[in-house]
Amino acid sequence: MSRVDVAVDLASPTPPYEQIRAQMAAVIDSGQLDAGTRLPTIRALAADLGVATGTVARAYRELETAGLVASRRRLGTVVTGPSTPATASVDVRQAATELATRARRAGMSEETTISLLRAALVAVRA
Amino acid sequence: MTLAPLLVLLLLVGLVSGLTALLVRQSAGGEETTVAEARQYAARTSAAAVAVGLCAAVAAGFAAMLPVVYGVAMAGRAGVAAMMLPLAFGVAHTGTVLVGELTWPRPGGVVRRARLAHRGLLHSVPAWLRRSAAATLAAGVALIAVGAAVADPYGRSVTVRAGGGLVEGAASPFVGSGYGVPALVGLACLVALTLAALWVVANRPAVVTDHEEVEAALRRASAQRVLRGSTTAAMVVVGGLSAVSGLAVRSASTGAAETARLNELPVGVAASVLPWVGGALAVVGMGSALAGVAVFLVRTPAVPAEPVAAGQ
Repeated sequence: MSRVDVAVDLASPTPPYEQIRAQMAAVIDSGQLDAGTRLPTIRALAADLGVATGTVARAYRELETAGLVASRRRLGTVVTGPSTPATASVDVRQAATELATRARRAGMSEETTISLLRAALVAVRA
Repeated sequence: MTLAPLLVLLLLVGLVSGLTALLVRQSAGGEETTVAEARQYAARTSAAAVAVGLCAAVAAGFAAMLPVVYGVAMAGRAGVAAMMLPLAFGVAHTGTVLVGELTWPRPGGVVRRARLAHRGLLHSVPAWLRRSAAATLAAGVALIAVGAAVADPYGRSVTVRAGGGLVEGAASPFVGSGYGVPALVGLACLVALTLAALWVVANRPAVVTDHEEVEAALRRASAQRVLRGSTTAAMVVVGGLSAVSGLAVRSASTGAAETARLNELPVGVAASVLPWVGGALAVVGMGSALAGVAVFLVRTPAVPAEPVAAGQ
């Protein structure tokens, strides 16, 4: 399996726990982390990122609520699998890649691109 | 209390580690640490651990002998003092490495990155060292248990009978409860401290590098530093106990056999075989103690140099 990283930008307006949660949800949904993969302990990930253990604990808690990870007594936190079936997510992943490519081509910042996506999600929900 | 110096040392290590952990928790991360800085930090920690370990060994040995200096006779005091040297070295060395790992440079900069991979307690420990530590511990517990079962009632000597039980030979020092219990308590302290230090190594911050093998080598070296000190101490203690007990068994059984022969009594199987068993135990013990010193001298894994990207 390829190396999977998570990054935290302390200057970003998005809270660190949300950055961690979003990136981990993305790598799990994209299949980069297989079901059963053991995640780093809360303390180890917090130490590596230089953030409080509570920050990572909150991200893990929200991932667990979303059904992406599970806490097991002996194994720690493990990936349970993507939130959507692999076949259904392929199409969406392709569209996301397309969106990212177009945004980059248009010289749009990541924040603006994500804001546009959020707006689109809100519009669809309405 | 024969173990007082060791327990005082353990208390000191616990206090310093706890205070360090508290201070590190409250301090903010500094600048991003480079691999070269991390390597230098590890080398300084290692040198400090050896120096503190040696000082603690001398101090513990001296403290254990203090009653003798002041004219208070205590049976087995010299033996316990000798045993205290490697145990104090192991506890102080492991404790210093633990404090060094607790104060390992923390991540700095605005953007921090971490690998999503699980790190287990024994993940970074070299397999040969893990096996050596486990085997030494098992052998030590077995030796102390058997020693306590066959020793004389006051726990520091062994008696071998010959001539159908009519003659006997006794010798000391032997690993009965008199030496076995302090050794067992010392080894238990060492195991607890080693597990705590390995836990800190597994959970300490990673060094910022694009090269996974560099980070893995730094962590493997840390784990080896932790385990080599305690394994060396344990091997010297268990080897020493085995050597002196073996010599005691050999001496007691040879004495019993000779007395039986002088009195024209049958020597018996036990008094015939035990000199060889005792001799073998002594040789194995001395070999184990020497191997323990060699374990400490095995170099930690080399940290590969970071490849320099083109244009730098």
